[in-house]
Amino acid sequence: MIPFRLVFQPGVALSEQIIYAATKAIVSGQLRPRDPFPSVRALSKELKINPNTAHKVVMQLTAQGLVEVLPGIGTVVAAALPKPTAAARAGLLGGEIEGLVVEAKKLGMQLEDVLAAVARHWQSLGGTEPAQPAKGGRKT
Amino acid sequence: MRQAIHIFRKDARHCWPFVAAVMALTAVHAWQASVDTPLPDYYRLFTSDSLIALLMVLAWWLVIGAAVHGECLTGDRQFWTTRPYSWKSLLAAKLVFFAVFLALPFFISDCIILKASGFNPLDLIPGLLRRQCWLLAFLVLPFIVAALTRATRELVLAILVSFLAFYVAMSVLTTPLVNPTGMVRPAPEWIGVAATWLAPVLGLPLVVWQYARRRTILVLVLAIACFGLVPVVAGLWLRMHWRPYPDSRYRNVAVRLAADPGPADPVIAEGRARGLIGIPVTFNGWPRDMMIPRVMGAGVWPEPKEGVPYGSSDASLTASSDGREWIWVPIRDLRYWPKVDMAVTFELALYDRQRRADMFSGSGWTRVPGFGNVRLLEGVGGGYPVWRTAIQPAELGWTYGLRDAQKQLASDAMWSLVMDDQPASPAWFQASPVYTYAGKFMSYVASGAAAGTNWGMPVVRHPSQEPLVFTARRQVATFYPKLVIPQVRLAGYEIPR
Amino acid sequence: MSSPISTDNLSKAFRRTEAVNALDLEVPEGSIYALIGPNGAGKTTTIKLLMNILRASAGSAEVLGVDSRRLSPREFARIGYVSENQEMPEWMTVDYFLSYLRPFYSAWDDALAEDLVRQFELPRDRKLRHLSRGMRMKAALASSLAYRPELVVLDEPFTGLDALVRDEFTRSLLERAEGTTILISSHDLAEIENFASHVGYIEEGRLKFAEEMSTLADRFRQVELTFEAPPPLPADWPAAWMRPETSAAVLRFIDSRFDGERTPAQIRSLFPEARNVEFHAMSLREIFVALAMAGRHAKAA
Repeated sequence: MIPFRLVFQPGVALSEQIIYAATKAIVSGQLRPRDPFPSVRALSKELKINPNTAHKVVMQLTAQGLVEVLPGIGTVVAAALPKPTAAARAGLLGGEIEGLVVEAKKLGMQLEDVLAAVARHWQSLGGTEPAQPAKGGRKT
Repeated sequence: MRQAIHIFRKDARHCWPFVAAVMALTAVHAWQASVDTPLPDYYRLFTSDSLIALLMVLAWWLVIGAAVHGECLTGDRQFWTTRPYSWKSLLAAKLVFFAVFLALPFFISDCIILKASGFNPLDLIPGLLRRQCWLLAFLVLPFIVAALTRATRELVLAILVSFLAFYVAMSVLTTPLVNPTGMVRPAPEWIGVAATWLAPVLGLPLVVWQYARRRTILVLVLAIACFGLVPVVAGLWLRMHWRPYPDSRYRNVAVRLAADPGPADPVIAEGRARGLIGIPVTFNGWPRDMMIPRVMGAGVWPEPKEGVPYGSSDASLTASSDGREWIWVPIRDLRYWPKVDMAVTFELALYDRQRRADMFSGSGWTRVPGFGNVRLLEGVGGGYPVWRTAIQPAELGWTYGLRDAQKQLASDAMWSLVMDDQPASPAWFQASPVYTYAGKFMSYVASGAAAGTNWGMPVVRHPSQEPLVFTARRQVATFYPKLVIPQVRLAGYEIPR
Repeated sequence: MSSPISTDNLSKAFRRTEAVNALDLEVPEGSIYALIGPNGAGKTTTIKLLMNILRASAGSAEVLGVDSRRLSPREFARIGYVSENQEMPEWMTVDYFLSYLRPFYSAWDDALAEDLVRQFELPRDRKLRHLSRGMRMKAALASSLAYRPELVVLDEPFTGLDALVRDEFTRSLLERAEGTTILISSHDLAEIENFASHVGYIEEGRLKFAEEMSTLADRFRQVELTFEAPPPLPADWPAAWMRPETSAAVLRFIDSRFDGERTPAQIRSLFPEARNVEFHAMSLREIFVALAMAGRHAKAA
């Protein structure tokens, strides 16, 4: 089974979407070091994608140091994860932020209103621990 | 050819109901044909042994269809065309199937029937193999039909259509030919044989081509050409070049008939008006005992020409004890006209003396080299002969003269053994390897109440001890002479009281 | 390294209709090639031509390096073909069917066949004629994958299958897709969108375009322009822009040649008064509908 959630959107390359979701899961701690990670074959089969695409994903994740392939064991989350910088984390949210900005502009909101709304939601959901997986996180 | 055997086993598994039907029918056919039937039935088609043979042939057709349709060759939806089938293995598998489930049972049934009829199968291996070739030729048609169709119902439709077409073609080929003298003779069987062989010889390559390339439309067109047009065209051409005489060497034999009516000629009167006029006739140009004449009919023209001419098919030929021969012509009004002209038409067959053998009467089968087995069966008043040949039918045109060695037969008659009409099945191939004929003894009796051609039976005493000498004559030519007898003076005939 | 499938001017005429018309198709090795198009476009005919089930009227095709008309058992042992309109020997049981086919293939893997039967939950002793449609397609697929073919050709394999069976089918296929070339023609665009690497669009027997899935996705965009009041359409409407629709203040059309830099500039020059411009990526299904409709209008015109 695939240990992270993924819903395909048209427009963005599949490999990108998968890498994005996997990276998010690893960075957020949903996947811990040395947890099993789906192999190329399993990715292809479970997500019903082209094996070449799956291959690309694993290559990319390996290159970024997030995932490694151990002989005899298979594909696992890397033992020593690179520390994600704040900028990297922000990058992971890029898609959502862009969507938020576009919608906000459509509604004619100003930047200050957007920031105020974000702060409000931040408070109501409580806590700032990045390691906790969001339980049934509500989407706005 | 391991793939071929593998496919064969699959076919055997799938087509087992049809195979079982073929086996059962072949077994029944073998049993039926072995049962000792002394006489062929003139209504052969309706007796059970012909029905069994017909069902057996139908079962052959269906089993061929079932086997071939397992890997159907037409259409674009078959499962096997995108699998690594080698067409040669596929074709070989079907041929093995036919060999094991059609040809082999047929071979065994042939051997059983031969054995039961008093023939030794081991002596007749070449003939049995020839029959296997005939079987193959016969089955090429259903094979090609199955290779061009997709399902049983198409096959059945194609069977009906092709039988109809074949029947029409054969009728065209074998309707009696009219020869220059106005007499009709049936076409010789070899025309039908050749036409029938032509189709399979051309059909087998078509089957192979269909398996190799699956060009259904093309093969269908060619098959129709082969099985329909070619036999008809070939047959028609052959008919134009057919000669009415079996052996052309004898065509120019000068056969002469002469009649010499006179006042002392006999009359048989039935009352004053009707009677038979006897006119002596002589036959020249060939040994008399090698000529067998048959009167076809007589025409009578009254003189002067105001009378009404009439013909009669009751004219006949008899011999008297002194060796003279008489034509008997029926006359309607004996006293009415003073003179009549007559024309008598004959069929005159010439024979060569060929062989002889000794035949024992009533005691089982006598082996006659070249002919088969002969047997005299006991009947009322004497024996009547039954003939059996193996593999090949008896050749037409043989008659058999019989003499009793001890002269126990009536001495004023030469008995001829003639065969009855041919059995209904085609002469060149039938389901049973044994051909059965019945004959009659025929003699000429010159005078007395029994004068005329007699069909009778020689009275043979002590049947198991006295051999009959049997001399065979083979017909070599046939003539149709017409004997014109002008100016027969009816008034000159005395009417006995 | 030659393509497993390539055609040259391939054509097939039935009576007077050209079912396939001068097709130049090239399926790269290792690709998963989706052949899509409206009903009756000629996809099935094309595949039948490739498999030598039908004979071409003109042109030629090469499959596994061999002219399609000369495909021999040697090539068919490396090809797996599954079609929704292929008959199967109805009287065989699933077990017998597989064991019957085994000797035809030297590369047949019994363990793999076992695996597939188990994975598909096929009833071994049931005759093929008593299987549901989905089961039958699964059996066909099992019998076509068990010998690890280099080329797998699927002709509308998903037709009439429920979602679960479709899933099983796809997963099983992808599990063994490495090193294999797959040609699949299907109407089930959502299913194949994610795993096809190449797509060829056939309409009225012609290959309208053939490209990688990624470039296809890259160049199609649904464009939405918001105005105060929509202006009339310009006279020199670009040919690559399809299906313009207007309502109230919105103009929507589909750009089939989207470029991240040039297209916005083009829009700006043609519609300087547009208040808002949005570009939305399109799914394969949406792309197909746009193309098919454009094709129909072109035919009617």
